[in-house]
Amino acid sequence: MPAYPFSAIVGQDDLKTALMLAAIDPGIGGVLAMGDRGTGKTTAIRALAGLLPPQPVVNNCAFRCDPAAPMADCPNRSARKGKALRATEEPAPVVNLPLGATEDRVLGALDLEQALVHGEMRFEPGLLARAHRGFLYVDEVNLLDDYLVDILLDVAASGINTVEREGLSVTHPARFVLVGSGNPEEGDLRPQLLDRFGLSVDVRTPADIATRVQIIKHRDAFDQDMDGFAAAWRGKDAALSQSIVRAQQRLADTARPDAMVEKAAELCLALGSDGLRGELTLIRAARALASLEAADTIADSHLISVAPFVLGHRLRKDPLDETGAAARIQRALDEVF
Amino acid sequence: MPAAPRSASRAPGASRTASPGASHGGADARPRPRLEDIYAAGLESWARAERIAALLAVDPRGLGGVHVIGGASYPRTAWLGGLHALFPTDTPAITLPAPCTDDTLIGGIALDRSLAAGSLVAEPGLLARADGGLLTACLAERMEPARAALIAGAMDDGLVRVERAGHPRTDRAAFALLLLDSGEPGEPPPPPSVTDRVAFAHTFRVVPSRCASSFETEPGDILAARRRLASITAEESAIEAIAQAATQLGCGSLRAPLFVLRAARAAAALDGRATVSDTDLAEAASLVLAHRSAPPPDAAPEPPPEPDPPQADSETEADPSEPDRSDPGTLEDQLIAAVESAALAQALETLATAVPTATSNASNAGRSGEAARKQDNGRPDRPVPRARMRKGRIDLLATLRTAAPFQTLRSQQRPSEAGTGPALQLRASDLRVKTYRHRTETSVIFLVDASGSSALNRMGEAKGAIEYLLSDCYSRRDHVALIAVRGAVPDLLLAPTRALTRVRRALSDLPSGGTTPLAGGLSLAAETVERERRAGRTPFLVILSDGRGNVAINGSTERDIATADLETAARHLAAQGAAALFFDTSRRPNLRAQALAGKLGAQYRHLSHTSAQTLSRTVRTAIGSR
Repeated sequence: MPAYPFSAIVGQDDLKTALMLAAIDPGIGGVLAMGDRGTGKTTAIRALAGLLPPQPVVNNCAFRCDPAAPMADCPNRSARKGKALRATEEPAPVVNLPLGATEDRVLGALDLEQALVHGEMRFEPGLLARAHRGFLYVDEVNLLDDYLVDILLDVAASGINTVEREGLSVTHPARFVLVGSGNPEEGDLRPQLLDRFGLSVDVRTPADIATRVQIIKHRDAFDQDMDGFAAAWRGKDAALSQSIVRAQQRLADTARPDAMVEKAAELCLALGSDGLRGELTLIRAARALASLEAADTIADSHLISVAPFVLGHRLRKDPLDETGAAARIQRALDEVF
Repeated sequence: MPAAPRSASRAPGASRTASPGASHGGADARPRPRLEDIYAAGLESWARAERIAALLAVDPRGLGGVHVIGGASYPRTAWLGGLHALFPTDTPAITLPAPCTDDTLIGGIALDRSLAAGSLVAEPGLLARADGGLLTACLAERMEPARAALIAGAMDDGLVRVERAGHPRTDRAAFALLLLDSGEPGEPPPPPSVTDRVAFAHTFRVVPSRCASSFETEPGDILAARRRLASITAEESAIEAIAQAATQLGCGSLRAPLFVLRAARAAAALDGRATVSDTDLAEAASLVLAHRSAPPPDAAPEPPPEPDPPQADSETEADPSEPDRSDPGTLEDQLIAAVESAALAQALETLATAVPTATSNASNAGRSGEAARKQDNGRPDRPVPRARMRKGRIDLLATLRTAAPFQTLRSQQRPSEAGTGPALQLRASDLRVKTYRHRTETSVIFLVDASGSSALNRMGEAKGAIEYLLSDCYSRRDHVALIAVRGAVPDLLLAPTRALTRVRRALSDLPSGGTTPLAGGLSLAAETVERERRAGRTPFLVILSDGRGNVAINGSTERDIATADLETAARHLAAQGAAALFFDTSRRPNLRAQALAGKLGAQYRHLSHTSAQTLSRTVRTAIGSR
């Protein structure tokens, strides 16, 4: 069953842009999409998988190692010491973390089959290993149990998963882009987890009829003939995928004028957002956007475009205060630019 | 009764069986509804239910399923049987047990076969086994969000992914979901993530069993309709009308208009039309949107003139292939009118069948002890050695994991067993027992006396104090409910929620003044306490009042009755045994408030003795010390 094509998603431009930016530069730190039910959050995030450019992965590596920079103590590497690492191109993974997942399933555990049949203690990697160098998606992230949130916070901060149990001692890299979605009416996000997300998008149900009609028609066409619909949009998806690859290549060469750093700092000061993560993410996201638009340097327009994504969830606030984040950001933007 | 004439004319034709309404014998307390009204409403409801079943059978995957509301009853059982009979005989029909593990749901390891084979043998879960068929979730109102998320994920993709590295599996799981929801007033509805993904909702009330006759639709009709389904076209104007109508009726979710379109297609296929007609659209809209339409937050624009009642039943109309557009307004107006008349009909039906609540009590039987349901149903925690915990179920997977590393060693120690004995050598010390983590979530129920006498005193301070407490609740991630006591009847402003911005909004919108239905407020609090217990949370009550209740539960303002009611309600609430704090909001500590707090078994504090900080500390220690 083919997935719904990314380029066939009508509207939701903010969410699509935020996901593309996170795909271009995983260092931006993930995307949080909060909004009403049935607005296509999940569809967009699942569709992203079809867009991600393939990446080289060391053959038979359970930890999805990059041949250019394999983990120093990766068991696979030590096994083939001295030999050149062989790799194949694989699509970047989009791994789904279900709400009720057990710790074993997420972190990894003893491989029972190997232990029972061969008497061998082997580690069976969990979801975190499978999401390495890709995306980890949590639907209804605001309902995620605290023990899973703790795991995510720990691993997302360090990029490393350490398992010490059942006589196993395994450390493997787990760097992933965390993508979460949920309905704010059903609960709030823990502040620490909120802070982990680089970008946040407020997903609204489109109000104008033309857009809604278009969405229904596309979805209906997809339901009537999935393969045909997917094939019809394959070209557009491929073009988007190409633009991500090109943006990634340009990323390092996109200039960052000092004036932009100052503006980013001013913006954060004007909004009173805590810490430096806001500024850093502003610059990273603006650079990713500039590369996507094939610009040589980061310009005001890029900062202005990404500011709502970066700062929307970082405003210092009483958790119960809700004076429109968007309005406050707009005011600060007017002040600075 | 305006709905009666049309349907009453049909009632005699259907009265084949005898025993007229004997089942409602005991209802004497109120004026009894007329029998023919009950029959008429019952027949109408049954016709609607049958149509839903037929449409679902035509396009089970596209329409998602049905939210079936109402406890076990003859009509519900008959309908479920009829629905299953519409599907081909080899259609899987899987029932989801109320308590079930994630492994049961998405698939796990077949232990018996794994042990016999000495290697892991995977076993598909119930979702995968329901592929191509019907999945029935009993006690859907108790479904945990985590399980709902798994089911919703499978419904989106038609697939279940079992995320076990080494054995990553993807099973097909395209099913239609039947959410059986007892629909009791006190229970919350099933998680919205699943109700939003099923097209229909139908409420089964206790009606005379003769109303639930066998279906007129034959399985053959369904098969023919399924074959036609793919070729049914819908005009662009139809899609526009659906989108307009859904938006105007306040259905934000885009699934709603899609379901209308699919239901209209199924209806056209069933009735043998090549194109979706306006009648199909009106019928689909009334079936899909009536229960979804939320009144817009502000005053709704006046709906187009009076809804024409017979809009909903399509079979009586003479298939207008070229509908007259000029007369009843634009297509979307017609759709809205159809939905509104359906909603009206349902409301009338509720009135007509307003049989005393004895029926709902009956379905309540066997429910006692539900409060203890969390016993082995929490979030799985680490398994512990059996030596440490005698009670509990053996966790086979964990036991195997513990035993696995020693297998080589053990077979060396006792080589004789290696050849002939079991493939696996277990020792008592390997046994692991399942444990569950019961997060003791707290639910803080605020009962705020916003009546005139309180308002005179310290309403502003009370609100400030609550806001302060709310930020505390936020950091503890408590659920919060808000009961407002003012005017004629107390009001549960907010059912327990974790979305605290909503609490804050409700609080700031709370007007003050008027009489004090404190007794009613206390019994509402008692109900909320009971419901929270059932949901597995620990209720904690914070009352802000001056203790001067002056309205009795029946609305009377006679002082004696009001006082007596207050006494009874207080005793009833105290019997619930929930920890409570009583903040006296009067100017000076007053005896009545102290006495009431005493009756409630609540700690008494006077608000003026309490700064915001000490207030929050008081609550925190009170919650912590339980």
